[in-house]
Amino acid sequence: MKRGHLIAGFVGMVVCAIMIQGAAAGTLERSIEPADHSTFRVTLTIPGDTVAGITEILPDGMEILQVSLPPHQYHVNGTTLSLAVIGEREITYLVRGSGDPTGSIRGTWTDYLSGEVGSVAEHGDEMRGPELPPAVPLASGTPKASPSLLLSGTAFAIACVVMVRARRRDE
Amino acid sequence: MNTPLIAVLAVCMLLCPFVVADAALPGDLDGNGFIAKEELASSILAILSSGTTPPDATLSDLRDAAWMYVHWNGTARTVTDSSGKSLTLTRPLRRIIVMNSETLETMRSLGVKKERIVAVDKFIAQKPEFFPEYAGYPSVGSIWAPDYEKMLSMRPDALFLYASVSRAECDEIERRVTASRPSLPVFRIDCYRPETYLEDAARIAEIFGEEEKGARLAAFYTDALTKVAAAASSSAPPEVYFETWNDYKTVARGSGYHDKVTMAGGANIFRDNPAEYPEIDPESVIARKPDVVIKLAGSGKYIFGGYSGENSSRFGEVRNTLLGRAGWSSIPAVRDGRVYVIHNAVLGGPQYLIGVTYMARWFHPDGAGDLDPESLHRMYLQEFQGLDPGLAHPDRFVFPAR
Repeated sequence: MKRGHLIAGFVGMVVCAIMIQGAAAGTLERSIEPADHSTFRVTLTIPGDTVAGITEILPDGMEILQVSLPPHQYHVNGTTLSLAVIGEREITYLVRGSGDPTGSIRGTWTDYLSGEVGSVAEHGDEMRGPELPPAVPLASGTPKASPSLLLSGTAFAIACVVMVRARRRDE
Repeated sequence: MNTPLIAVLAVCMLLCPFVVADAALPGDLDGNGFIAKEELASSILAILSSGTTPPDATLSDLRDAAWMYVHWNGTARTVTDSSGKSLTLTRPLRRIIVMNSETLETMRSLGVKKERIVAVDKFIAQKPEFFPEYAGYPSVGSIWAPDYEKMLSMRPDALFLYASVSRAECDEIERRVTASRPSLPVFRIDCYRPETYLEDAARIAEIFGEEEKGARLAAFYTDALTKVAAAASSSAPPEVYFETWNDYKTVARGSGYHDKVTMAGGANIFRDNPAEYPEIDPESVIARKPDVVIKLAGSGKYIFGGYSGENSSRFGEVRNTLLGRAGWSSIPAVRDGRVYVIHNAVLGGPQYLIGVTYMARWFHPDGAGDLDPESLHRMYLQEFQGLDPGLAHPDRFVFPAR
């Protein structure tokens, strides 16, 4: 691979990473990734140090296997998971089910410091609900990308990869 | 702590919010005077697991507990006010009445939101240029004519009054209000005296859990005053005649203005007068030959300029009147053109550091290289008060402006 291809690919990845990071900042967000066999790891990213309650409702047939919080900070009732967030910035839990839960988990949050409530946004999904405001100051100056910006960043990265591959074929 | 026990207590809290509301600390389920992480988590899970909208009182308790866990380490907070009185808070303050504009200004510097304030005194409500967010806000009268009925009807959870100034009036307000509401915390905080200003600000920061902003404010003041001190020590102090907004009424040792003249590197010609605010014989000013004259505006018959910017042209007129006073042509200050008019907005309260910076520049022009009172003023308004820095235009506050 030539130097120019490397640079183009790298720039694309960086732009994409910045967009993704920007999209996450300021919004309570859920991301889901396959873990093992029919399990999935769900990660909730909390944008600031705060005290909040989160309720996650999973589709029927799914089972909650493991939660990263201490036992006194969560409660499972069938397919409903209640989480007490006290300063944590990231919470993960494992779920098992027949299908991919992406897009089918419904979550709500309440920030007990600011009094605001909202829905948990799924990573890459359209942002829902107001931003979770920082009760204790967040790292300032973090850019926040709009969904359209995120999409255009992703498109740019894909274009870079396609361009690199096309040039490789030409060679 | 026993987790099932906490869970039971949390459910009880959910079902009987008023019992918890009466307890010493919200969310302190075992009553040991400390809101533990486990207790907070149990309260949150009790609400989430109930699946219904909790009663307002329960939610309010949880919000208070969360706030105290984050800002007060889960315990009650005892704060000593400027009068030396200790008050213990078992909940964050959410419905306060402020009857001291300097304290309100300091609260704004510390990021205390308007949402926590239910009423102010009438003078605050009448300063829309400086307190735009309180224009038309509920007013409970003034220190001299308080509206007790309205005060109590606002269901305040704390009252803020002066500690030193208008002491008799503030004592009377405290006495009457606490007679009706014995548990109401009444904080006596000045926020206008240079020697105690940062302590007062630290007290407020402690009350509202804004210690970081308090440290930032303290750094801002310390930095500005260090520069003033450097200029003040750069040459011998000039002899200064400081006149209040009452003609021939000056200041002496013990008054705040005397301290500010001294801080700026001036020698007050009436410093040894036994009264703090003496009225003096006009001849005695001429006899003492001041190098600099400072005239205070902003009250009495000298109401102009300041944040309203109204009639700012009067600064020049007042200065001309001073220059034309009988016998003053022989005074070094008049002869050398060192007669200045300054508005009390930048000298009397928390903004004294701006006025002191102006005065240090006037007193020590050769050593004032680092002093930029206008920039300091702009920075204060923008970074601490959230106001338009354009309000800091020198024409509104001093004359000659440059």
